[in-house]
Parts: sequence; C-alpha cells; structure tokens
Amino acid sequence: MGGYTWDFSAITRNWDQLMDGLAVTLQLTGICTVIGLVGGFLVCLMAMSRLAPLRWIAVAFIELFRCTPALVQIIWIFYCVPFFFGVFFDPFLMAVLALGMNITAFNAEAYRAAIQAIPSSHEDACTALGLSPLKKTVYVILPQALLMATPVLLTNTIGLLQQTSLVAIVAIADLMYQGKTLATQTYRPIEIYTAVAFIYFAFSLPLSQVVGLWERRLRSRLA
Amino acid sequence: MSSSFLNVQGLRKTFGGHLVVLDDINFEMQAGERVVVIGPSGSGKSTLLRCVMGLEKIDSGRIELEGTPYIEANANRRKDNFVDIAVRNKVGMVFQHYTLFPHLTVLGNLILAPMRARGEARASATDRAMQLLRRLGLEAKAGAFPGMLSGGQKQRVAIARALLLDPKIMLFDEVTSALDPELVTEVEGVMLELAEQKMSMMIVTHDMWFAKRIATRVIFSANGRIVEDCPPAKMFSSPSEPRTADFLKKVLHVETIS
Repeated sequence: MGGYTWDFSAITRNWDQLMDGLAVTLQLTGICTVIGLVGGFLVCLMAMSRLAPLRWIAVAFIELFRCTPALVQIIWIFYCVPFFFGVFFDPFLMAVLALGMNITAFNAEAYRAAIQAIPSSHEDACTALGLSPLKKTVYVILPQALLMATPVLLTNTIGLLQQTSLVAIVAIADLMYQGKTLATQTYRPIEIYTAVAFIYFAFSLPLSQVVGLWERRLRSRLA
Repeated sequence: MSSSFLNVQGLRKTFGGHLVVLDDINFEMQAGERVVVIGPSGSGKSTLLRCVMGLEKIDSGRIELEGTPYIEANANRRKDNFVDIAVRNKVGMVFQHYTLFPHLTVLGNLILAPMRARGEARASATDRAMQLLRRLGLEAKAGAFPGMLSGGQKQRVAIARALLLDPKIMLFDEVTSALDPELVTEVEGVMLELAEQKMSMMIVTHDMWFAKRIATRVIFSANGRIVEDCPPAKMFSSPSEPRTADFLKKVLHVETIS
C-alpha cells in the first residue's frame, strides 16, 4: 500500500463505458436466468422421465456442463461449434448459448433435488383425493418444488452473474471486458478492477440477502 | 353378493412376487359398518387399506363398492390393475403422516381436489369447506399454513379434506400413531362424530380402547390373513382363536378389556 496514489478519475472519466459494460452483463444474466429457469425444469423432467433414452440424454447434458469449467465451455462453444457445425451466431448469442446451457444444467439438479425432497406420501394423498397425475404435478409437486428450489436457483443466478465475466475472454463488451480495456488504456488497473469488483458485489449482495430471507420463510412454513 | 357395500374377493398382494403381504383376503362390509383392523406389525393391515384405496398394485382378486368392481387384478400380472377411477373416488383416506400440502393454506388444502379434480367452483367449494371447518372448530385456522398447526389440528384438517369430497367410505390408516398422546382425543373425537353420522369406515389402529369404542366389527389379521372377524365385545372379551388372545394379551398387558 505504501506510496500508492489512488486516482479515481480513471473511473469517473470512463463511467459511461463501465455502465455500457454493466448493461451487457445484466442482459446476459437476465436472458440466461430465464433460459435456466425454464430449460432447467424441462431437463429435470427429462432426467426423471420413465423413458430411458430421455433420461440418458438429460443426465449426459447435466454432467457434461457440471463437470467442465464454464470458461472452457465458453471457449469451446465459441471456437469448436462453428468449426464442427458450421454455424456462428453473433458473439453475444454464442455467449448466451454457453452460459444458458451451463445454468440449465445446474438448475436441473436444483429442481431434481427439490422434487425428490417431496415425501412420496403426497403421491398417495393425491390419488386418494382423485387428482390425476397431470393435476398432481401442476398443483402439488411443481409449486412445492419451486418453493424449495428457490434458494438454490437464486444462488445459481448469483453464480451466473459472476460467470458472465468469463465472456470477456471472447471479446464481448461486458463489464469485465470494459474494465480490462480501461485498465490498459488508463494504466490504472487497481482503481478500475476495484470498481469493477464493487459493481459485481453491489448486484450480488441483494440477491444473496433474498436467498437468506427465502430460506427463513421456508423454514417457518414447511416446519 | 351384490347386497354388500364393500366386497373384497381373493385379494392377494405380494412385494416383488415373493414377499406375501396379503394372502387370499375375503371380506364383506355393509354400509354404516365400522370395521377396525388390528394385528401385529407387518400383518398387512395398512396394506389392506391401501389396496382398498387403490394405492397398491394387487396380484390377484378384486374389490367392489356397492356392487361395482373398481379394482381388479389383471390376468397378466405384469400389467396394471383395472381401476374404475369414478368409483374409487367414492373412497376417502386419511394417513398417519397427515400429508397436508405445505404450500397451501388449510382452506387451500381443502378446496384443491373439489376444484381441480371435480370442477367445483371456488366460491361453492370455499363455502362448503368453511362450514366443515366451523363444525370441526378449525374456522380460525382456515388461512394458516399446515406448518403452523399442531399434529392434532393437522390430522383434523386432513380428515376434513377427505370429507369434503363426500366419500361413501373413509379409511383411517393409523391416524393417531404419530400424535402426542394429549392430541389423540381431538382426532378420535372427530371420528366418533362421523360414527354417529353412520359413516362407513375402515380403521387401522393400535389403540385397542378406541377400537372397542368405535368398532361395530373387529378384524384380527396376522401374516396376511384374516384370523378372526367378530364384534368388538367378543373380540376383546373372549376371542376364539388362540393367536388373537395371545396378541391382545401382549398389547393390553391384561387378559381382556372389560
């Protein structure tokens, strides 16, 4: 720390550029969150399906994305998908594809754990009440699973917000990328990266507070 | 045969084909009867109730309600049972562990099936549910979530939930076994009230005093078979089968209940 002179003008002067980056980061997070919430549930249903081939596909998908680093997934999708499949969307869409599939895999596991935590006696109760399998799923299993999976889904979303920073490596102008650019332009990496870290923190902290609140609410209700 | 209300014929239930839980059960029941099933753990009492509710796949036999077969084993054992859902829906059941849905309020639990399974309008279902809750002294709990209720209250709500579907017969599977002793009477009270209204019931319980009080008929089952089937007065004072006497002696720690 000795002797370092902080110069925050590097941040204030380039504030707009950082905010442009933040906008991209939030867009990525928002779009991938929606993909993950819907896709995760569908993959979870596949993973719990009676049809073995559906199960295999879902489990392979989940394990593939859970057991490789997100950074590798992004780079792989960026370079290898165009090479093997001859398709390339714009960089932002490629990033959405990579991060969306990643969170889908993690959310699928969150849903599955929540559904499996519902006592099997609820199935009997539904039969005794004359609820059809579809109505049982819609009115009894799904709402409970959502309620119980919410803390993990939110935690995954916090993770996603931070993982979006990885797309800077493939030159998508997100918050991290703008920070990196500014750091080299201004020769003020310490100030810039501190500011970037603070912005990520400021958006993640409220989410993690919501997780805590929700868990307390769940405990009081499901006790 | 057709005069009986509930008719179980040749019911056999195994787990995985080898472990025989119910072995050729035959019994009939008239409307308004209250049949209490007693017997040692693993004798198949709960399984019998679960079969009548249609929760278990049976290996052979059939079950009729008011002369209509509604559960029948398929000749091909690998295939599912035949189930007439419309008839099965006339059977109501209450379980040991309440099985209230924690994401719904008490009222929400009550009106779910009338609305979603029977297509009743919300207003009408709510109206009936509130009347029933009032009768059971649970009106103030209508907006509460199950997690906020005592065990006794939960079980009374579970009974109300089943009753709201106007069952012809109610099955009670050890409904007081998970309760603290001081909460048992409030649940048994509801069942006694139903008895007064001539509700047909099948009850599995370990509480012999309650069995004696509520039953019009007691069945003693052991090893998947009905060993003795007689009125409670005879069952608890002079059972004919030595196995019955032996069981009662063990659970009551006395020869008979007077």
